Amino acid sequence: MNWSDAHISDVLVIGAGLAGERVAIEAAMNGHRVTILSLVPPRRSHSTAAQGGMQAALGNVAMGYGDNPDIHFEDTVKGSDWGCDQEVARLFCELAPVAVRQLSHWGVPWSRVVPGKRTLPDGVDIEDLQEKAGLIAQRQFGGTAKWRTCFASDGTGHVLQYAMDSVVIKLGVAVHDRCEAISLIHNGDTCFGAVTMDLRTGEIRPYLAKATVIATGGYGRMYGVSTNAVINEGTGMAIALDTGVVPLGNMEAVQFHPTGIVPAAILVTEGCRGDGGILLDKNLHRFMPDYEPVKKEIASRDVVSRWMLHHIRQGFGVDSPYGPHLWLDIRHLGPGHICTNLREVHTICQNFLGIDCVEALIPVRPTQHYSMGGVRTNKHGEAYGLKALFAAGEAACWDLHGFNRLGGNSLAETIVAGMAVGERVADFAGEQSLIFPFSLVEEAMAAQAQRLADLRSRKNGAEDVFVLRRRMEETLLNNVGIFRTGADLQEAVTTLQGLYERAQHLRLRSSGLGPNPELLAALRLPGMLRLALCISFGALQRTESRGSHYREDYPRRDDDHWLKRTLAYWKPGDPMPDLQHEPVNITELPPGSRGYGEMPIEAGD
Amino acid sequence: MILQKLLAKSPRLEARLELLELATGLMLFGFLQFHMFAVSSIILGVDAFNRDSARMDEYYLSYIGIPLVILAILVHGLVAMRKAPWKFQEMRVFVQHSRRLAHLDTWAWGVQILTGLIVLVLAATHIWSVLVTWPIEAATSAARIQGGYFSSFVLLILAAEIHAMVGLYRILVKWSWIHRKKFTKYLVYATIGMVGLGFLTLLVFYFRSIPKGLS
Amino acid sequence: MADRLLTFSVFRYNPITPEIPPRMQEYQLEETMGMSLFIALNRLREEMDPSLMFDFVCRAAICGSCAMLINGRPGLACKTLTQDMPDRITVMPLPVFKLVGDLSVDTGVWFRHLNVRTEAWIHTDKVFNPKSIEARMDNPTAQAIYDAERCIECGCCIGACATANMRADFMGAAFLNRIARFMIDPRDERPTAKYFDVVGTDEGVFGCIGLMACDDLCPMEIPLQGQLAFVRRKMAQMALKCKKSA
Repeated sequence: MNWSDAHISDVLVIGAGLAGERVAIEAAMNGHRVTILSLVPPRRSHSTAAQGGMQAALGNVAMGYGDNPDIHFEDTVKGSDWGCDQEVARLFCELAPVAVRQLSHWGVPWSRVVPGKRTLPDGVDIEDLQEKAGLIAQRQFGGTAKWRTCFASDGTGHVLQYAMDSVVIKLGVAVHDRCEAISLIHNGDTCFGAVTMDLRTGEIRPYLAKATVIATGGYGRMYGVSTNAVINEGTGMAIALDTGVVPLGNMEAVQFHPTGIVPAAILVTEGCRGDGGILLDKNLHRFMPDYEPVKKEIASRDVVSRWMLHHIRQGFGVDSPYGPHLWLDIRHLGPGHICTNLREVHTICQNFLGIDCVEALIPVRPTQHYSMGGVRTNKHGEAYGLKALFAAGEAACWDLHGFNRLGGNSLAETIVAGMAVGERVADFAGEQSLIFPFSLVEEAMAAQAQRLADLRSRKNGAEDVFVLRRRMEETLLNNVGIFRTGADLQEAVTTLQGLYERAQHLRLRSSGLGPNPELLAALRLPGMLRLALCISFGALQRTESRGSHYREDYPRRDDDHWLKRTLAYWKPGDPMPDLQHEPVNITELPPGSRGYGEMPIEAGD
Repeated sequence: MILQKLLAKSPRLEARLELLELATGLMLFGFLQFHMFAVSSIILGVDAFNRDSARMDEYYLSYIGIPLVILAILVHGLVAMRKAPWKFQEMRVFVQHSRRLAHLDTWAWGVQILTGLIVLVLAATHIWSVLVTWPIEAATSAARIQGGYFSSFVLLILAAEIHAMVGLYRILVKWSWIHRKKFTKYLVYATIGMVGLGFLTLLVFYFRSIPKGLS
Repeated sequence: MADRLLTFSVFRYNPITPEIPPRMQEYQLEETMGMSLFIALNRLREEMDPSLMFDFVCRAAICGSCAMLINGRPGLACKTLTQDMPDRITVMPLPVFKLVGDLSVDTGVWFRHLNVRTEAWIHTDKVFNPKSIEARMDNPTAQAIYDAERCIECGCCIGACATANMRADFMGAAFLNRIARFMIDPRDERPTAKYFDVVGTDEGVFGCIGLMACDDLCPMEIPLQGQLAFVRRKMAQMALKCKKSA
């Protein structure tokens, strides 16, 4: 390795989704030289797939009058099933309105309030006041006391990402797309950057920085069937875990979105239900009021998903060649509403189901969607275990979401965390000077070069990367889903351990030269298996039910023993993660009733 | 910024050339259709034709109109040519692109260039032969058509009408004065109508014997 | 239809091995129910040729990564269902953009470059005040901006454009639409003259020859004909005004 190969900047951001770009903007506005690495061009990031909106307590619409950060805070904590860090949640709720308004300043075409009277699908009459005309409109999302979700039709993530990227371009922040960070450069105390692979040429190069930020999103693809984009393979979490000193928090907390379409597993927004859409079973019976008399379809996602699956298990699912599903009915919202506020849903139904959802029912099933867990950080976004390493967005366990995230809180988190963590990153980079131990960088490069050479030599091993990967996907999907049991989880852990062992002996079928897709899959697989083990083992250990983590053998929340966060470490060379626990930070709202999802599953029969 | 490009840059010129192309195009379109109707008066009889011709002479329409049309053709041709694929490489790219795409409007541009070239050559000879046998009379026209120019007139009518209609269509589309998909069929009908009228005129000239100085 | 055997003819070229010239390679695959090109190409990679390069991200026609020439026409592979296709399916990378390998092209650099060139961000002198409420906007304006903002920068309009294929500096429908988006946005304070310098040229809107392949092939069905005409008219007005003042 030669120094001239190294790319040096003040701040290195890994991931160009909303969180990554927002951190980069904050750092760049503070005068730092920032480089963003991204697997794909920023505007292709998975953030663009977010449809419904972003929560912020503006109180602009009739059903949101009187809203304030206190109510948002309460909703968020209840949604998290008291698993979140309340200090973080407080900070988040106070900042979210500023974030939304700043985005408006940057060009986001938020849908706006149109004053006047109208009748909601459930018969309630409301009136939007003249004095609020033209302010940012808000819609209803699950698990919220007020209508709080700001939106731009149902392409909110798309317009946010485009506005954000336009600011990145305006500020001249360097974006190196088609680049993957394959390991962090660190000495067990401080992080100095990352070894990256150029996905155009297949060559590796060190990227060095005073501060490194992981904002790589989730790992949904490990589940095989997921609403996530194919790039969401948890690579950022995996390289952090790989250091041996940075823990991942609450990896067992996996969100399933109630309305993924069948069979394509593409998301249709929670806005469908928020705007008045309902769920029907095979008898076209609206079943959610039977289970959730108050919140009905708009209880939190963990609760709705659970009841949906429960209802299917009771035999009320609609049979299809792709397994049983339920119906989402938005027909009564009318073509006017569907073709404006739910336009992308309409297009998705046309493209992937061949149906017109103005007239037809949409086949849906709960589908893996989001990871509440991730690189554990403090409230400033500083990763546990390594100085100069930060994380933000879905990749992080900042812990805004605890065991269940509210719809509309993820877009908001990416941006608010981007602001808050970005500020801390900027301060940190301002205090540091550039020092890089040469031998350390050289060693890190040599280790990765060796990995590549071993794979490209095709001498050892006999395992096929795609076969192992498929087995991992099946295992997570079947054993670590919505309903979990000790036996299933134990089986998953055993299977995954076997796969992890086999993954040490991969052999490529193709040459592996250049940015070869098989080589990339082989590089990622061991890290993905480590994440899978953290998820399954964490779920096995947690003998309670909280938020999205539901144990059929322990169906109650157990605040006496489990009001704590799982921290998963992976010591180099170990076959299994080392699980530790830390208490949850409760500052304002002591554990209590969520107001939904209280009925035991059996009672719904 | 590169020096020679910076110095040569004149954005207003490019915009004005576009407007010039538009203006001359619309004007020539108007002239062509007018011309087609004017000569078709032969269908009504030799007298009608000669009367029209004489009247235009009388009011000096021909003496103003013809130079203007010649100028318009030259300007329109030059301006329109600036975008055509003149480099061999570009032409190959365009042809391969059109074949892959199998897209009617894209092919239509190729047709536009081809018919434009045909019109340029044939219209030049047409104007020349009219001017040398001035004034315009049914007899001289008939003599021309019967004297071996028949097939070139067929080609000219086809090329000119297709060029004009496709050109008009593209203008309407570019400035979005029409709904593209709905309007196309009317233009097709108009093209067929005008070409039909032209052929009928041509046949009348071809089969009617008109002695010189009849009227 | 379940029994159909599909033949895929796939463009192959890897810049890492320039000694192997570009070629079309054929694969055969049994069609399955609801098969899309996303499913088909991934199966080709996993079962037959792990070195096959292509780009997918969202697989839901939202991100614009998977634009390619499908039987000659630009389209998003993820939403192309094999049931709508003949037995023989030819896939090639998008033209105009730099080839990364096989079906993968570098749209990111191209679009970033044009975003810089057209200064595609809100230009305003107003300073954001975190304490005040948002500036008001009427909802129809917001919707009109959204209509244009729906562009996913997939590059289909560029690949389909004869001018873009022939002239490297033409910005194509994607950017003329992007300019239209900023022109209607009241928050952008750029005067028309400022836009004119960027798009009132042959590299911009006057380079368009109106073949409308962009309008016909836009996967987002953005009304590009209208958007291009909107920019064209504004720029023409500007050119005429300049004439008077000059």
